Amino acid sequence: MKIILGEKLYKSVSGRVFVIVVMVFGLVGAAMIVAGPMASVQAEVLAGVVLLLAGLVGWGLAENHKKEQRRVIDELVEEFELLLTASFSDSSPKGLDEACQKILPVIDRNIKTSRLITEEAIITLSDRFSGLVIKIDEAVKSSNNTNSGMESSGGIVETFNSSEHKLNDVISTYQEALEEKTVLFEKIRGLSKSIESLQAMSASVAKISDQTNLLALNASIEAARAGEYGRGFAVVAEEVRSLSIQSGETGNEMQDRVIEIECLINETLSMVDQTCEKDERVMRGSKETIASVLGGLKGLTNSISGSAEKMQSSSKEIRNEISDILVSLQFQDRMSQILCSVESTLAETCEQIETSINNPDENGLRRAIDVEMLIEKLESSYTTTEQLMNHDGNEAVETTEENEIEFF
Amino acid sequence: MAKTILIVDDSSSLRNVVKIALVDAGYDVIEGGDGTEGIKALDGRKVHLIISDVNMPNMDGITMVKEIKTMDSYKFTPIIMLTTEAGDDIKSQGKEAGVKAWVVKPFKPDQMLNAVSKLIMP
Repeated sequence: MKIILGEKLYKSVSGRVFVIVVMVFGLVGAAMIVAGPMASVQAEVLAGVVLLLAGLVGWGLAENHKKEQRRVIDELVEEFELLLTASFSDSSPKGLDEACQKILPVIDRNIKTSRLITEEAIITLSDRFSGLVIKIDEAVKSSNNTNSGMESSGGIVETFNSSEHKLNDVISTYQEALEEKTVLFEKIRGLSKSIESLQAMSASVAKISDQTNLLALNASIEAARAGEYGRGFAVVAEEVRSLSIQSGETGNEMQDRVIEIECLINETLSMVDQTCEKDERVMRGSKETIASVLGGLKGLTNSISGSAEKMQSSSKEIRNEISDILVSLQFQDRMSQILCSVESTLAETCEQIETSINNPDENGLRRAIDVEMLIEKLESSYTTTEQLMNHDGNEAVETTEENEIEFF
Repeated sequence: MAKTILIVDDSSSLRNVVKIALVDAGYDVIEGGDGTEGIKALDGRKVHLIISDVNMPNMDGITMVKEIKTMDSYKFTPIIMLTTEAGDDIKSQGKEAGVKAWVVKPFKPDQMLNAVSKLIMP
């Protein structure tokens, strides 16, 4: 490229030298004519003609030279522009402009779409998780009410305890009734002993009657032996004997009745014994049945109560896990801000490239992209420490450390 | 009676995180999606504390704080900024506007509750 430009400049300069040579030759010729042997008037006229011819030739050559120069300058400008274009193209990868113009907006749009999709998804997730937390809270609250209901008045546990108490009261009442019955039966047994006494008494009555009868008989014999004087006494003795016979019969009858009563009492006592035994058996059975039913119910109640507690505990754990997940979802907010900053810088860069390509300066040259301004804008859009670290060339790692609260 | 806290953030997920932590601790919560909504949410009611983001559409957090500080009913209401912004310049702006505490995201609920209990109006 340098050789071509040099040749053109050389041609341009050599054309000017040629005009000067013609003009010099014209002046020399005119001088020689004036100084020659010709008459001075003729010589002056001839010299003037020679000068005029030399001037005309020189003017013609100068005009040609001007035109040539103009053409050469035009060619030079054209060559220079080509040179500039070529030099620009040589330092940048081929197709970089087009790539930036066409690809950067697509990247920008894709980043925006990704950011919006992520934002939407995280917001949906967050809303759902929050909904879950609310539902779990409601479930735990309801379970708490049920559990406290179990333990308070009207609850399952309280109802169970009350039922157990009432059933035990029934058993106690029944036990007391049985004990009272036993006292009654003991009294009936006491009657049996009284019957024995009655038997002894009736036996005594019979014996006294026999002895009285014997005495009356002896008295009758002694009255008969006394003759007339003993007649009245014989009547008395007969009456006494008759009374003794009657009392003997009464004694016998009493004994029969006492034996009948004794039999009845014995039968009653036997039945009482059987009843007592049966009552005790029923009592034992009832106690065992009630204890068994209450034991089963207690197991069930404890199981229900335990399940409710376990469910509450699990629910609380799940709720806490979800809360932790929600806390972790905070990354979306920071990520969104970082992506917004990237989007805005990409959009600005695209605009600058478009302007550079489509709006050249007054010389028809592309405007320079203000990279410093772009970097400044990018830096001013940072909100997170990660962005600053990335900007300084250090790879930012998501921090899990707690940020200190600053109080003013 | 439970104390009321206003949360202002354009990210509903973040509002949810703060809300759950505060409701668990026994506070009532009202919300706004940006500065304008935050001011609207006050609605003359008694608010014991405000937690706000900085970068939000329509009205940013610092502007909202400045507006609130001109309102007689809320000029003494403590305000905590909860933001990704950690720069000293923006913190100074917040401090000048009347912010009482600055929490940089991500935050831990316990940490936030600690700040709330220190600042909330009696």
